[in-house]
Amino acid sequence: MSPRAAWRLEAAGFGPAHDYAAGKTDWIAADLPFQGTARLAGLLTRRGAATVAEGTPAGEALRLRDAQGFGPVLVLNQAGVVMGAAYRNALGKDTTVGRDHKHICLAARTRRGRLVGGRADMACWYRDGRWFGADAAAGSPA
Amino acid sequence: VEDYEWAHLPGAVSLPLKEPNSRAGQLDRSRPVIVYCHDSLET
Repeated sequence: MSPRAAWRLEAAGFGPAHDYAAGKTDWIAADLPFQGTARLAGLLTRRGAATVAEGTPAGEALRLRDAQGFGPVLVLNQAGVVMGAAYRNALGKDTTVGRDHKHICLAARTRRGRLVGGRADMACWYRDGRWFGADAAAGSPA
Repeated sequence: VEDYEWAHLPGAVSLPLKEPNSRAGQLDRSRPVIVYCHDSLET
């Protein structure tokens, strides 16, 4: 509806009126500043979590996770889409990590930029599957 | 209004489509105007 609003404003003497067609969620997804009461997953997560490709040996995943010092290791496919996540206490038990990893714990999704579900202490990703952060908030597994 | 209170770009003015001109007076006519909705699905 923003094109219609832009047209109306121009008709009222304001101008030129530009339409930001991608909308507010595009702005927020880019981590740009905003005002309001929103409690976004991105505010609760830390960027820079360890990531590995599917099939990575658990020992290597554990080394990368410990180098970061927090959160799970996120398992990404070739397109950068989150396929799974493994916490530290699970990495010693498995030979590789992947989408079928039995300790997959992806609890927090974003829908229209908002938290869905009760937990924000694990891994978060965009609607297209690209990850943007993981967290070791109080109460989350090490 | 609910979406505006939830989050808006810094300095943005809420202009409900039902009454687009009622708050337009808050806008500075000397500056460009950028209009946006919540997301692309609402445009």
